[in-house]
Amino acid sequence: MLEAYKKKYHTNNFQYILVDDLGGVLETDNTILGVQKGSLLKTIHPFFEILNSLLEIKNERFEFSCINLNLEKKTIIVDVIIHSQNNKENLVIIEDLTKYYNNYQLTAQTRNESIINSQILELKNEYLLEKETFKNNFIANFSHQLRNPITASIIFSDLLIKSNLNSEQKNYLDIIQSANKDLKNRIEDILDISKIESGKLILTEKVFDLRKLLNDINVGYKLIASKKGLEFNFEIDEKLPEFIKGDQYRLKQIIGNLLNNAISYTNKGSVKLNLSLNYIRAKKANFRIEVSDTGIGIDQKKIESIFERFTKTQNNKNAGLGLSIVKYLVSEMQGNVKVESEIDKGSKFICNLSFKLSDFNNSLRDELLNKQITNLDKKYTVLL
Amino acid sequence: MKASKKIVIIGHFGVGKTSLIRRFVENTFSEDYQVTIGVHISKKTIEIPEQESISLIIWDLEGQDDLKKTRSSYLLGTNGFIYVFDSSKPLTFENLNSELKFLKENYPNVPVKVVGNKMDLVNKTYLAQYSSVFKPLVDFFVSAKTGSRVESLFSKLAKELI
Repeated sequence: MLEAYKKKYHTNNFQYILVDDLGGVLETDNTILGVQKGSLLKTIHPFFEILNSLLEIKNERFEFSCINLNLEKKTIIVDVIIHSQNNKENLVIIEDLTKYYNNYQLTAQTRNESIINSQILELKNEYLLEKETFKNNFIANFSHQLRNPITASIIFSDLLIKSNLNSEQKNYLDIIQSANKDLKNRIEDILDISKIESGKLILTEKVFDLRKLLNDINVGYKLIASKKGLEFNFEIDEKLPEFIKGDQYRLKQIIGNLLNNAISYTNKGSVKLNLSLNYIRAKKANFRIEVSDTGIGIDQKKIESIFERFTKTQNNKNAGLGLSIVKYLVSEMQGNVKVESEIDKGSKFICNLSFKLSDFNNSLRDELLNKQITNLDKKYTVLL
Repeated sequence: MKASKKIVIIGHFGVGKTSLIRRFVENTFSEDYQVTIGVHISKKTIEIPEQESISLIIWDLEGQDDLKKTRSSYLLGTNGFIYVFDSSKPLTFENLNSELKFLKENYPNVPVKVVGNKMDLVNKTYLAQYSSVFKPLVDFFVSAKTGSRVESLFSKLAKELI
């Protein structure tokens, strides 16, 4: 009974072939390859061309695994053992392992494809990075070259406005000065963006007087808003610390860009800057900057992309780079920024930022100032 | 009797070894990548002008990133090597020097042809960038896709084997 089952389920994967020293078939059981007695094995497949040279070495066993044999009617994958003997009867054993190797092939295919795809991605990435670096360097160099003539234009138009001009000439010069400032700001923005993209924008960490910075902003923007006939409101939470540690220049840039944007898109009404303390925790002060306006507002469909570069807003006006710089700087400072807006009613930009608290305070500042004065006196004395 | 020579094609996986052989033996090309496991063996007889014809038994080996990992039985009785790399992928030729050193040490009398495949994917600027690697080591730049210089490669090697 057992023998019957064995016969039913046993598959013979082996073929044994006896060959002479030239690879001529002496005897075979023909289970895998159909070969005739007396024929040359190398006529079955070019793999067996190797037989002649191997059979010259006597009493050796050569093992070959995973040989793909493309035969006339089928393709099989086999392991082959060639046993050369002294008696001119050499043994060739073929084991058909097609099923096993096909599974292996599937695994290898997936593995290699995934490696090749990741290599292609890496190459594409390298290429894009090179392109991006070239673009950023080009923009940075070009913007630097633009800065010099625009600075000269600003200086000389400042000088010219102080000379004797009639009212018409003054009006023209006002337009030139405004265009100069606008162009200068755009160039600065482009430079900042190229610095951001090339990873060269580094935030500094220094103690600064927050109140003084905000007062300067208040004075400056009150003037800018009034020129456009807008009201400028400024509110500051008394609980805000006076001295904090961080990048003063970039904080000013964030608030400045938000205010410039608000003034630019508001034709009547007001622009408001409000700063309040959210909380103080772990020697850090987290505060909220709110810039609101009564301007044209932003379409809800475009609100998501408002922080992207050169986003077109209402009236197809170009928002430029200011908000995109704000977004980057805020995220670099581990803060967040969002916008709420309604068409024809206005927009509100809300930004939450954390700054390290500083031990520095007014009395320390006075003490330091006194010390500096004393030191200066001393120096002066020594020099005399 | 026609001479029969065993040529072994080696190199990283995905460099186009199988495509190169297909172009030479069947004059066909496919963009679809199919991994080679173990070894595929094909045969082509070529006529060498003013000399006898020669049968090339071409062993297309499974791609390896390190030649030392190749099953040594595959290399038994080799008459000539073709080392293939992908010209567009530096990763496939970054160890070229050590791979060739291994071949020269272990198979001192067997000629080796170093071949940069996929020439259709690179330009002159790119080649100039890697000229310090390519110039001293590479014998042929070919394209299995277009067929460029494939015949010349095998003919040159065949002549050296006679």
